[in-house]
Amino acid sequence: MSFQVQSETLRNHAKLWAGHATDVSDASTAIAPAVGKGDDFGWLAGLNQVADNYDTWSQAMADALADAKQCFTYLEAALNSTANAYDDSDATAASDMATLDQMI
Amino acid sequence: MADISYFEDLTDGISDDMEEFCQNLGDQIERIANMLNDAASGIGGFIADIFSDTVDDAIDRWNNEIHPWIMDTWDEIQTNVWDAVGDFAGRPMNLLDYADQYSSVKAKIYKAGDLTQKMVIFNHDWKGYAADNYKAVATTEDGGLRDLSMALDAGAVLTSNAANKILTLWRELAAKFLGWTADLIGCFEKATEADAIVTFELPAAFELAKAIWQNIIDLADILVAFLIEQATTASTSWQQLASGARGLPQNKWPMVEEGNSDAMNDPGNWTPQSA
Repeated sequence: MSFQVQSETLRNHAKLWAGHATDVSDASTAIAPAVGKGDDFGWLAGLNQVADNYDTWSQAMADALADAKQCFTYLEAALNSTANAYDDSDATAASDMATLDQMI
Repeated sequence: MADISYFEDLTDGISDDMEEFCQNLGDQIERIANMLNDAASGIGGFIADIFSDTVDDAIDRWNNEIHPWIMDTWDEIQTNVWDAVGDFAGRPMNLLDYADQYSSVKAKIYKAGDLTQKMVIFNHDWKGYAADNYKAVATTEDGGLRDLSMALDAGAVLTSNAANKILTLWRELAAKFLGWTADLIGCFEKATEADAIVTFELPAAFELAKAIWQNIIDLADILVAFLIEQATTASTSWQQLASGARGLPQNKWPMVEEGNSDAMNDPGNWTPQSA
């Protein structure tokens, strides 16, 4: 089995994480209108901590989705970089480690 | 009353019902005043009452006690009803939209087995220190997606439950309000002659008036009990979700560790499997 065929496995995994990055990015956009809207539960919910807990949780979900996107984008770049290194192609130069480190 | 979906629907409906109640109360006041006037002037079969002290007593009581009480109580009902209804404020239709969004996101971000299938091919093609680090990172990240989707699902359920509870209580309040005011009107309908005015029991009428806003407060108490249960005792509570006790641990996304990252990014650590 050649390195070229095997580097395709890395690229396929890079695509997997790229897809996840797109999914969580779409998810962030989808839930954005709901984040921090505990007031919509009403005054009584505010008195009973439901609104505060909702706000805390919804913001945490938004933050998690943003962090997830960062990690997935990094994984895509790291896997593609390694595949490029194996392919040894000028057109698909590997990213240096410092650049990749800055992504996480 | 039309379907109640927004707080404005509720307040508009209660406002319409209050207007109808005010009209009915005005009709009763006018009818009783006319009845007393007729009795005092001997019109309408009240001739025997012309010389009766009962009519004078009834007119005095009406003018000095009952009519002022009705006016004061009307003010009190308006104030207390709006105070009680105000406690019900909320945006349940927005909450249902949010629940839909969380639910759709939950389905989109995680598909069980997605990574596992790809790892079969990966394990066939690669091994070594970098591969081990990648597998550890990939498995952790995939688990993060699973936990996040579970948290979003739980949040969607709690959000829609709260929205539906609010809507249910709003609709119950809207459906019953006119009936509560009708009970108060009913006690005046019994005052068809001067004797009834003299013996009219204000405390009983007061209790009926008080019952109008007390009923609203009772419904609000049901909502409070539900919210307390949501926040504290339900197994899938906001408190647990907010603290990260359920779903994503501590509600923090598992970031890629730099050590794993460095190992993964060193091509010297990647060892292709032989065919």
